Amino acid sequence: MPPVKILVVDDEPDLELLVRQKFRRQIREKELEFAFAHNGVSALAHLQANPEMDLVLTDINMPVMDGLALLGKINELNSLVKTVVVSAYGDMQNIRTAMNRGAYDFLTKPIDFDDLTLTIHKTAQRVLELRQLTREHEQLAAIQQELNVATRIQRAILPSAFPPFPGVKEFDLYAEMIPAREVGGDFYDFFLLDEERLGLVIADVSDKGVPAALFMAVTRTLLKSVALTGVSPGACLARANRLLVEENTSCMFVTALYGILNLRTGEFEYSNAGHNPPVLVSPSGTVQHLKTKAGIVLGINEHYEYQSDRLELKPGECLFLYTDGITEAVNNRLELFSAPRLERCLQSIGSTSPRQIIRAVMDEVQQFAGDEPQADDLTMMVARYHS
Amino acid sequence: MQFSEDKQGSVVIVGLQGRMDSNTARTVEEKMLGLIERGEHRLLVDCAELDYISSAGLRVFLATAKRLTQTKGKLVLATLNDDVKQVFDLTGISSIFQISPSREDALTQYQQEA
Repeated sequence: MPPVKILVVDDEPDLELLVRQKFRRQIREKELEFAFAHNGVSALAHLQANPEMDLVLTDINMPVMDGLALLGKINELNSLVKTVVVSAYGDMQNIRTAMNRGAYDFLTKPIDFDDLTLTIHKTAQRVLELRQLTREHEQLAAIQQELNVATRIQRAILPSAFPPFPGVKEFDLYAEMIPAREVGGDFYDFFLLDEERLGLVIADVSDKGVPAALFMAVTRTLLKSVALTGVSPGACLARANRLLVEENTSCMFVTALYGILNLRTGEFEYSNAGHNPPVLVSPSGTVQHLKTKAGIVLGINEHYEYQSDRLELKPGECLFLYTDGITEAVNNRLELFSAPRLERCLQSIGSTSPRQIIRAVMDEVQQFAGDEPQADDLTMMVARYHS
Repeated sequence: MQFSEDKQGSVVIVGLQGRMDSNTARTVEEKMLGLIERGEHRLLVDCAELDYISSAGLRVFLATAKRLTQTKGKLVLATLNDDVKQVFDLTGISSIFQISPSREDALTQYQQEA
């Protein structure tokens, strides 16, 4: 424990001798450390030069600047130092003024040194607690700052340049994620496996916060690297799942849909690990959720075999992929946006450019939700096939 | 989110009421793991008044079930409403749990074992 640092302010020079005498043991053993000033002005100068002071013990009646004026100035210093005033016995009016100006405690003259010792320890304890709180507050602010940086990094790993492959004319693609207030776990991804196959991933990590963000980063990398080996969607999910289960100690999981669009034939082969099925939007205005074999979410069952489904896309048809933040967006009556409402919404939009579809759905969801804060990220990806 | 607790024989019946999402799931997780720490290892979760469950809520059930396998315990979920059941089905997670249509039926699952 470092010594408690006390500044004694009094215009009577005798007090310094008395204090040094009475507390000689504590001074010798470095429990207490005293400094002395003889009026408010020199006390203030000492505090400015020594911000680590814990406690000021001040007389009220002094020349140049009295104890009450000093109290006011100490408040302006914005330091954690606590002030104990010493006043004549019965001088209740000054004592009240001092307390109202933020004095922590008071003593009366003649000073009872046992009482002063107690008061010093009690006050020093309080100052210690305040310093601790301030430190913790600063640490929290630093953590918050790091979380903000984490959120930015997480957003930045999602591909955001559109059109993503300017030379490729067989499809239009657009994707967007509107994050909920906390760093979360939705992501989308897309990549060309070769000249004629486009891989599409949409996924949602359970829960929020830094654990979800870490899990998301791992999952995204795993899925992409397995997918780039060119295996079928079902095999890709199975392999990524096995790798995730091995390292999953906290029962996190990911819902994911991975599909491969053959740009030459329009065939879309996809596999679903517990994710919302995609919606097929055709130029004729029909809208339907695709049938998927309900595979289990990734990260839980090591030996699960994921099945693939197939679909033939006709020119002009759109695949609408989304996360449950869309269908589970809530309004102020806690009603869900819901899958039927999404289908109606897509029907009214029709098969237009992916960017317009996403903008229109987002508008509708936000209009529905109003000011109600959303718990989940809102993520959508649309691919429109041209042939 | 409300949380009730009742005991029938060696089975602790936990009643959940309200919405189990990322805001409330952690509290439920602490309560469930607290029960297990206390030595309870037969948990029956009555979801009759559970209005909504998000993935964060599912994770809590998975974590509880995992902890219970370590203590050779057992978790049964009972009386899920249609919306909640659908979330279990769509995520494939219903295959992992014992899910009972009623509290009474759930209780028999433990008797068979005992």
